[in-house]
This record gives sequence, structure tokens and C-alpha cells, in this order.
Amino acid sequence: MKYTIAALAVAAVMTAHGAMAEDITVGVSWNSKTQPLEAAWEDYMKAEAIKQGAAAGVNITWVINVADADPSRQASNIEDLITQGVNVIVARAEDGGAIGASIRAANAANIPFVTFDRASSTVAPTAHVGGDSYDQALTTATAFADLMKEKGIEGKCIELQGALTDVNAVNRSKGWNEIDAARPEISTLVQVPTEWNPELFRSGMANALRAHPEANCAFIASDFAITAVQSALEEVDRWAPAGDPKHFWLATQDLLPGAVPLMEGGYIDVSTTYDAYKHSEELVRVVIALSKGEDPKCGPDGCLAKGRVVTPATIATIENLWSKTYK
Amino acid sequence: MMRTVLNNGFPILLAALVVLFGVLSPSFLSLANIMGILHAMVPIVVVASGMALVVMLGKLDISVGAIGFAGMSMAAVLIDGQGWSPLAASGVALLVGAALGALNGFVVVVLRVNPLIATLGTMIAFRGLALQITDSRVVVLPDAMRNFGNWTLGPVFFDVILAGAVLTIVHLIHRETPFGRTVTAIGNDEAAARRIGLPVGRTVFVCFVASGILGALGGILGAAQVGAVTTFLGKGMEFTAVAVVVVGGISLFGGRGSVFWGVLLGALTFEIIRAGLNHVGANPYFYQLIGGGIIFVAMYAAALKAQGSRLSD
Amino acid sequence: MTPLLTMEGLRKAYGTVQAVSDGHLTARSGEVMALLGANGAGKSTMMNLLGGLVRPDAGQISIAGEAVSFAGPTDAIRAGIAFVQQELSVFASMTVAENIFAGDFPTRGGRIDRVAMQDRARVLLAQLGARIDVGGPVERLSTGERQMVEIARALRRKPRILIFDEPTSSLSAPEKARLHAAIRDLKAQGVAIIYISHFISEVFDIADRITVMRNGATVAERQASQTDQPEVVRLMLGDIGAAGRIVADDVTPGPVALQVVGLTAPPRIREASFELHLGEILGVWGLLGSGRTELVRGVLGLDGPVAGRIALRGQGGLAPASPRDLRAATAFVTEDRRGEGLLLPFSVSDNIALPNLDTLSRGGVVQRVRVRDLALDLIGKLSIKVSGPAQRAGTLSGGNQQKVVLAKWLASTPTILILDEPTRGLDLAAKDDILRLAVDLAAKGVAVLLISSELEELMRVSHRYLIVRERRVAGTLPGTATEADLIAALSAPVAVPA
Repeated sequence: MKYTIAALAVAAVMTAHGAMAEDITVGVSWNSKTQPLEAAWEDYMKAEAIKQGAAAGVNITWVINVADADPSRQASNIEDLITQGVNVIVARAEDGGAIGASIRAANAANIPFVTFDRASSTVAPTAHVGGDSYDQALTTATAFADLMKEKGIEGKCIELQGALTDVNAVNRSKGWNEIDAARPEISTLVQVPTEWNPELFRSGMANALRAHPEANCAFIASDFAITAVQSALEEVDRWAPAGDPKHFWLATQDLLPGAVPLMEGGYIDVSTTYDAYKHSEELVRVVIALSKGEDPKCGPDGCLAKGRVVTPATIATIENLWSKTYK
Repeated sequence: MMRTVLNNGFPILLAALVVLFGVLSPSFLSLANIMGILHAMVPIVVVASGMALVVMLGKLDISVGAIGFAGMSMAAVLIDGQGWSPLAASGVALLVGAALGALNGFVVVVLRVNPLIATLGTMIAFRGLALQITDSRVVVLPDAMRNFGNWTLGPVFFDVILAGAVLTIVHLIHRETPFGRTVTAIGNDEAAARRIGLPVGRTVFVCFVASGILGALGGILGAAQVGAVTTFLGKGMEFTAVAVVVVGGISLFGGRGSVFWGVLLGALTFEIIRAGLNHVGANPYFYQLIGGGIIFVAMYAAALKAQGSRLSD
Repeated sequence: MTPLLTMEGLRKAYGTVQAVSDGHLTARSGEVMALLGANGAGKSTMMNLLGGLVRPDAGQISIAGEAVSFAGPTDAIRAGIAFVQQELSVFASMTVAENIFAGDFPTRGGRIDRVAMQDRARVLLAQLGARIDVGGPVERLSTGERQMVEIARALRRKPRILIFDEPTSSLSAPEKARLHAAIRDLKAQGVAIIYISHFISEVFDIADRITVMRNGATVAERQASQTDQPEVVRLMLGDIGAAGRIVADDVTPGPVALQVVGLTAPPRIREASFELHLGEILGVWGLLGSGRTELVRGVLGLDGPVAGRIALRGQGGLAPASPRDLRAATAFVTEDRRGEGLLLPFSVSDNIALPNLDTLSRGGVVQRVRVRDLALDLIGKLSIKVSGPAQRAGTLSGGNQQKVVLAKWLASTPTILILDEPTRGLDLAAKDDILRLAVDLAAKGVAVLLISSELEELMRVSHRYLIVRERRVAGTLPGTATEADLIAALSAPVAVPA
């Protein structure tokens, strides 16, 4: 009852401000903000808010707090956002289980709650915004098959998988193998699980190379530990840029900062970004929709932003690539 | 006869596995692959050498993976941010390992906390410390360090020689020195060791420091091989190290087993299986099932062996 | 000649328990001094003081006329004292030589000099007449051989004073003979030996002098040649108060409830035979170490398999039975209340209910009301002092805890009750309650077997005595036996056969 009155009051104030632009306040709870990725997300969000806000007639004010990797601090931070009466709450959860309590609290206060990047494993939020890992693998594999076709090469690939308990790793493997089945240009010789452990990326790749000397390409479920793959390829003298006859064709996921110079140098042939810019763009779209009481039209797994395919030819020109600009 | 099979059951099983993988995938028995297997074993052999000393005492140190991560994180930021040479930074990593090992030793010896509980706590704390040091980033190491990690002398990787030397030294210390025999005595019966005036506290403390230093060295060698420090460094390493030691026949109750053969056989077992599955292209969902199965078989064999020796008394 | 070791006016208390109140003894080079006393007399505390394991509250220890003070075992070792404890301190997986030299390995260039170590180990063991492979692991040795290893370790330090605490309790006869030969040898080399044992006849074999302690004080010192076994036993036990018996002498016992014939499990029990009747209290009388407890544990099959025959009274008279059958029919209460399953954090009623859950539950569900009724009933019958059935067992006094243990067993109404030192550590009133309870149960037809090291206590309630000596049943005495009869029975052949 109290909240209804408060909401009505806010609505009344907003109407009084005139029809020019609707003012909304969006509260953001970062679990931590120590890495370039988080800075990139925040900058892109603010820029998108201005761009999309102008088009939608919404004026977004941001209230941002940081929990320093502490789930209980995050809960009290979100409590603060609720008492401040923000219009929408966005949170990147430190703990996918504990965030449920905060979602429930926001529901009770009738404030839409958007989980960002990390989903809640307990209570469903109003919407979830994240990356589309399945589409990421589909686009990379398709672009890679196109490349093999263009070069007239029969791609015999090693698949380095992530941890099979991680939904992203499973989605990426699924996407790659669907394209593999559909396209004659690529085939997978061996699947190597890595548990996301760089040492297993290295030794698994090395073992696969020794077992399959005919291999000429690899699909790598994330390039965060690309140097481990580099070690394995160096061992068999296959670490060379495109154009060199020793070149080993690499398709990766994410294009994280460590992989950018390797793509610029021609070692990585195709990657689909883990796209901070696209995530932020989608988040702002969802926030505006929710603030207007509209359905953001998410899929069953949430509003998932698709990454962009990048190749050595396009990496110099692609805009808003966080891993290139934020270091 | 029964005794012989029990005592040598594991090496026999291992040999059978090698033959099986060799038949299924001929490249498995190539020199390059054997060298590759030894190369991949390097970090775990070093970490398990330290773990073996602690297990000989009848204790556990499950913070070794976190110590490796913390030590190498410190080295990584010194190299990446301060421009230190990898060698000097690695020295600092070893010092961090010694300091964190000393903290474990203090908690276990002076505060008398159960070692499992103590190092479970410090494992979480050290990992948190390491994440703080690197801001949870991936730190790419300079090429020089990665080149060192994969440097070869003829067909042999240099770090394999290093790990072999570490393992041999720890083995000789355990076998041939008063300190090492005191470790075994404590593992047999800590109360008796106290009664006859052996330096129990000092010995336990030194073992935890050694375990910390070797944990850090394992972290350095592992990071050098992959050329980066990631938040996955050393994760699960403590459990693999315990499993290696146990599979290698070193009793968790302490005082029994050979450091050299135990660590070597244990580490070979796990790496041969992993490499073999890689070679035959096994279903990815199979790996952990088989790893778990091996631990079970090894423990069961150890239990049978213990029963056998009791019956023959 | 001044003694090598003098301990004078020693006092040591653990909390409120005065373990030693006035301890004194002497030991001389080239002499075996036996230290005797009943359980709790203070012998172990005296030796722990001497070994530097505990520090005295008062008193003086002098070695060769000089006062010494030990901060820890290492100080005592340095002063030339070696202690062969009852509990062996050997390391099973290590070699014999390593065990002997643990703590002081001979080294060469940082490595243990195995050749020198094994040579010296062989010499030490040869002194003891033991032929043991010094390179083999200790776990392959018998208990006697392990003890030789431990003694060799003590000798390695070239001690002036060597303490043996119950060295023969787990040795076979030839091993015992070899140990005694070694001790005589050490004596000849001028070592002062302090020898603690419960086996009185053995003490007279080996000792030159005997010191007796009772209730924390040294009460006598005698040359072995100028005393005899009965005197020593009397000195150990002291005068027994003439407290009144609380049972009638002329009870007609019921039929035999339990018959044991030729029970044997060396070295714990040899050829033990006895009968226990319904309605009687059979007091088991023997010194500590005579095999009293081992006898009942053997009958109950608690220490592994035994040879011999057991017969139990069933519906149709005596029938052969296994120790397992006997356990089912018997309530067994010992001084070890926690070891016998008193769960201190649990309530009194839960403790009573636990062994009887089958009869207290219906359809797998425990009937709380029945548990409470049973607990209230037994609390009343045994006059257990509690605030209610819900009081936690850990908050009760020792005597009331012991009554709860009894109540646990009585709920299932056993035909045989075995009490092993049931009153140890209890105050007088609680002791009295427990004894009266035993008498009441016997009057109701229960066959009661009572073990106690306090003769006074036994004499108050026993209808008959079973004499146990050196791991054998030596005979029985009637309830009318006097204190003198009973003491004599410990050292002489029993006049009245079973």
C-alpha cells in the first residue's frame, strides 16, 4: 500500500515535469569493479543511455554502487537502491544464489530487477541480460567454415572444450558441432575437455597434436588462456601467422584482451566477441522498456546479446571493441 | 603370491593401461608423447613432493594450490607492472610460498588446529589474497618465461629435469637424514615421538614451510608452461596432489611409503590416463569418471594391502 | 654408600586429586629396586616426576648427592635417566636400528650413517641377549622383541638410572626370562634399576630391595631377602576397616546361571573355570594385573576368540553357549562410564532409552511417553538424583552417572550382572548406593559377578570369592573368609578347593 502511494507520487511528479523527456533513475549494483571489462560495460551503458534515451524520450540518471566481491555488501547496496526508490535495478551478481533475496526484496517494492551477465540460480528476475554463447559458437564456426572454403582447405580440427559443468562451455560446444555436422569444409578429429584449466589447454592440445599430426585447425572454447595453446603449438613448430605454410588455423571464442594482439598478428583467424558493447546496448534497451512498463521480449534464457564476428581483416576497424581499447 | 600381486598391483595395472593405450593409438608410445607426458606432470610432481612430506607426518596441506596461485600472482604483478625479471620475481614467489607455509605451520603447531581444517581455511584466504593481488585478471607472462617453461635439452624438457631433481632431493631428505626419519617417526606415532623427546613441533613446522615453497614452485612451473597467470592457476591442485600421493601408496595415516616412487607412480597414473584419453579421443564426459575410478581402485588396493599385512602378523 | 638417586618429600596434585602426598625412595648403582603399590598408590606419578614428564609441587630429587630439577623429559635424559614405559614408543614402519637411534642418529655429511648405526644397534641388542634383524621393520617383531628394541634405545643413552614400568605384562615366559637376564646384566654393569610390576612373585625373583607405596605415600622399604609375599601384600593394601557386611553369610544360592570350563586365551587367561549362581554375588578377588578384568572380558568374548566351554541357564537348564549369547543375557558395567556408552550431552531418559529402543517403539516410531515412564520408574528405583528425566547426563555427579549406566541395563532385566570396578572414583555415599543396588538385585535372583580392587568393598557384599592369581583361577573362598584368609590366598595355594 505504502509503495503504491509512493509510486503514484513519483508518477505525479514526472507528469508535472512535462512531456519533453521522461526522467528515470536506474540503480546499478556491481559485484566488483576492478577489471577493464566492468569499466567498459559502464562506459558503454552511459553512452547508450544517451543515444537510446534520446530516441525513446527517456532521460536516464545512473546510481551506481560497488560491492567489492562481497555478497552481503551487495545485498545491502541493493537495499539502498530500493529505499532510494530507483525505477529499475540492474545487478551483476557476486553470488548467483544469494542474489535471489535481493530480487525478492525488489519485487516486494515493485521495482523491476535485471540481472546482468550472471544469472540468478534461485529467484527469477524481471529480466536477464547476458551474452549468447550458443550464437557465439554458431557465428564463429560458420565464419571459419567460410574461410576454409575460401582457402580451399579441408579443416581437420581439435576442439578444446571448457568445463562441462558450465552452461557457456556446453553451448559453445553444441554450436560448433552443429556447424561441423552441416558443413563439409570442417570436421572435428578429437574433443578435449579442459575444465577451463590452462594447463589442460596446453597438455590437451599437445596430446591431441601428437595423436593427430594431420590436424590443421582448432576451435577454442575461450581464448582467455590462448598462450597455453600457443605453447603447445610452439612445441610442434606450428605457431605461425596466416600466410606462413606452418600456420595452424585457429577459431576462438570471446576475443579477450590477451587474444587481440594475436589476431592482429594473424595467429587467430576467427573469433566471436564476448561483447561488452553489445551487452550494454541490450541492457539499456531492456531498462527503457521496463521503465515504460513494456515487455522487453526476452527469449527463454533471457535477453541475450549476440557477439560480433571479428577477423584479422576487420579487427582494425571494428568499433566499440572493449578488449582492444580497455587494458 | 597374493602379497606380490597386492604390493605390485598398481604398477601392473599401470603397465596394462600403457599397453592398452598404445594399441588403441600407436602415437601414444612415441618418444615425443612420453616426453610430453613427463612435461605435463612437472607442476603436480613438484607440488606432490611437498604434499608427500606432510602426508608422511599423517597430516594434510590442502592450501598448496592456493599458495602456488598466490606466489605466482605476486610474481606476475612484479613482472607485468614493475618490470622485474622473471627470475627475480620467481624468487619472490618462493619467498611468498615459504611465508604462507610458515603461517600454516604456525596455525598447526602453535595454535594446534587440525591440519585439514587449518589449511582448508588458509586455502580460501590465500586464494582470496591472490585474487586481490591480480584483481582477478589474466596476466600474460613475457615470452622469455613461457620459453623457459617449454625449453628442451635434446628430447627432454628442462623443467622435467628440474622436477626430477626436486623429487629426488625430497626423497633423499626423507630417506637419509635425521630430519626425514623424524618425519616418518611422527607419522607412525606422534605421541610416542613426543615421549622420547623428538622435536615434533619443529619438524612439522618445517614440513609445512617446505610444502609451501614447493607449492609456489609448482605454481611458477605451471604458469611458465602456459605463459599466463589466470584465476584457474592451482585450482584443484591440492586435491590432485593428495590423490597422487595416495595412489602412489603413501598412507594418509602417515609413516608409510616412498616419496620418490609414490609421487612418480601417482603422477604418472593420472597423466597417462588423461593423455591416453586425449589420444584415443574419448568422450569428454568420461574423464572425471575414470579419474574417480582410479582413486577408488588405489584406495581399495591400499585397504586390501593393510588388511593383508595385519593378517600376516 | 650414598644412594645414586634420592627422592624426598615429593608431593604432586592433579587438580583436586593428591596423586602423591609423601613420596620418597632411593635407588643405588648395581641394585634392582622394585616399586610396588596397588592401583592409584602413586607409583606412576613418582616415575613421571623422575622422568621429567611432570613437575613436583614440593620435594627434592637428588642424583649422586646433587639436587636436580627437570623442565622436561630431555633434562631427565641428560641426567642419565632412561624410562621404559609400559606403553611402547616404537615406530612400526621404521627399522629396528632407526627405532633405537631415533632422536640421535649417527650421521656422516648430513646423511644417516646406516652402517655405523646398524653396527651399534647390533651391539646394544646383543647386550640384551636379543637376536633381532636390525635392518628389518619393527612391525614384524613380537611385542617382546619390540620391548627389547625400546630397552636398547634406553641403553643407547648409557643411563645411570633405568626405569621399567610393567615390563613383563605382555611378554611370554621365555621373553620374560630373557628380560630378567638382561636386567641382571645391567645391574652387574652398575646401572641403578627401578622396577615396577604387579606380579609379586616376579618381583621377588629380580629385586634386591622393595619400596611400597599406598595412597600417594611411601609406607615401607624392605630388603627383598628380609620380607615375604604376604607382608608385601599387606603393606600394599593396608588395614581393612571392619565395616559391616550388608549381606547375610548363609544365603542358599540358586541354580548355576553360568558355567565356565577351561577358558584359555594366552597370555591373558589360562585354564579358568568357575560357576556363577543365580541370586549370589561372586566377588572376584585378585591384585591388579592378576587377570581379573581379562577374565570377564574373555568370558564375554570382548578381546577376541577364546578356547574353553561356556554354559548358560536357559529354559531347559544349562546349555552350551557362545560369548555372544552370554553378552545378550548380561549387563556389563565398568568404571569407564563414557566408554560403556553413557552419552554425556544426552538427557538421562535418552541414555536409558537408547539400548532399549526396540521395546520402546511402535512401528519404528519411538514412543516418547513410554521412554519418560521408563526413565521415571528407574530414576525412582535407583534413587538417581536428577531434576528430571530431561537433565543432561553430563551435568550429573559421577555416582549418579554410574546409576544411569546401571539403569540402562536394568531396563532390559538381565539374568547376569557383571560389575567391573563399578564404584571407582565415587564418593562413599554413592559407593554405598551402588553396592546396595547390587545386593537388591541379587536378592531378586540376578547372578552378580563383582570385581573390585578394594577388599573392604568386596567383603561387604560377596557371598563367595573367586580368587584370581597370575592369570589363573586359583580357587574359591566362602563368604565367611576373613581378611587374613583373603590376603593369604593371593600368595599361597588356596586351601579350600572350588
